[in-house]
Amino acid sequence: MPDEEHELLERIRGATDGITARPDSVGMVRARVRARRRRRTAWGAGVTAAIAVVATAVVVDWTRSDDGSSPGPADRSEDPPSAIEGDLFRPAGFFEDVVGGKAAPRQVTHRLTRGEKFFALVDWWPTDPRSTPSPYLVDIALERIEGSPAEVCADLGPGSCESRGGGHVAHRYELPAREAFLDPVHRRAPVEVDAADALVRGVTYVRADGWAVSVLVCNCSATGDVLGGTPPLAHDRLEEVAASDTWIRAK
Amino acid sequence: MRDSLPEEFDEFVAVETPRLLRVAYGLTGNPHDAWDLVQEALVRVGMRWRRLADGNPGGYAHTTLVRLNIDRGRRLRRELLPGELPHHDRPIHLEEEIDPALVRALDRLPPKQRAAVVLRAVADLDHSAIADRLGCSVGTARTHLSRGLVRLREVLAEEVKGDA
Repeated sequence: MPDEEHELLERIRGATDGITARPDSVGMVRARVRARRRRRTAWGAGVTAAIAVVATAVVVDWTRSDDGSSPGPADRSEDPPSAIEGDLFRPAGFFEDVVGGKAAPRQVTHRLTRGEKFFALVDWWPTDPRSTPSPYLVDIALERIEGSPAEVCADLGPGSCESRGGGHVAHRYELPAREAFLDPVHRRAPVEVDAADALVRGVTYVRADGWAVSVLVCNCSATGDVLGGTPPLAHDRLEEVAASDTWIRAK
Repeated sequence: MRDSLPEEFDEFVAVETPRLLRVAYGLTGNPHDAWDLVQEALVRVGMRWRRLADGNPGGYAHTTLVRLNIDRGRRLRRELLPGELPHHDRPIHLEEEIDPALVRALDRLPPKQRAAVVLRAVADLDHSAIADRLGCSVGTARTHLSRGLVRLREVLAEEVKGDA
């Protein structure tokens, strides 16, 4: 290596030595991971479930909880339609009732032990008489939260927090799909959805009674493909789904 | 709700943060952006800790950081930043004078050339490892590094000439 190049590299190395982290950085990272888990677990579960379907193989990793523990005896994950079309859980049908179009369930998992988590992944084809409908991924999650709705919402990352009646807070966001933790299992690096029009639009309705309902729609698949045009659902319609008391009664 | 992250993750964060921070500072030239990048990369590792712990979480974190920064560069082209922010809201410490001429010169490199140069200088990576981080071929990484160094020398020379 020429001396000049070596000196230049040394100069860069010396310059970057001047920045250091304080010890509390570890705590900050840990707190951010916890906050992110509250929001993104639904997406992670949906993505993993989609992989299972696409591969037409049994991928059981998604049946584990996001904290890494194996499912207990009362945890259940079932293929549709038995769980989804049962008496309590019908997210695909409910989504279809509220926003129209055709929703077909793919996977659902719910933890009955503590009633903490419930995920559903559905394909949704909007009603569009002018053309052949395109499918979208829809991910619905019901989760227990801690803290006030305003505090929880503030931890949810990019997006807006808007107060609603009764102390509830709606978090609305829209992200390029690659920033939405499109991060399937068994990959060493995040999957980048290399298309400008692939995005995730979602609403998390953080309730004053300690529950949060998240509904998101994406025009992408777990493998990074774009499934259709930009999701046609506006935040208002997603919030209609998320804010329904149906989810809370269903738990 | 219990916090399920194991102590090993804390140890990982404590060890990797200084390394990541130096690379991130070289990539951004801004302590706030550097910390944001590091934090995001570590959070993504934390989200997948169960799967990454037995593999190479450090490599995953560095790759994620570099690619996030390239994406960030694309976004910044459409954004106007509102000036300097105070340092006290980030858990970082920055020495007063960190070769501002060099930081300015790095700012003038294209993102991938800058990444290649910084990864060589700060992380001491070879061409193959740089290619891995950037998601490109070894030949392309070699080109990014070579051109980046040439460009950096030119820019620094211009600065010296401008000062004279």
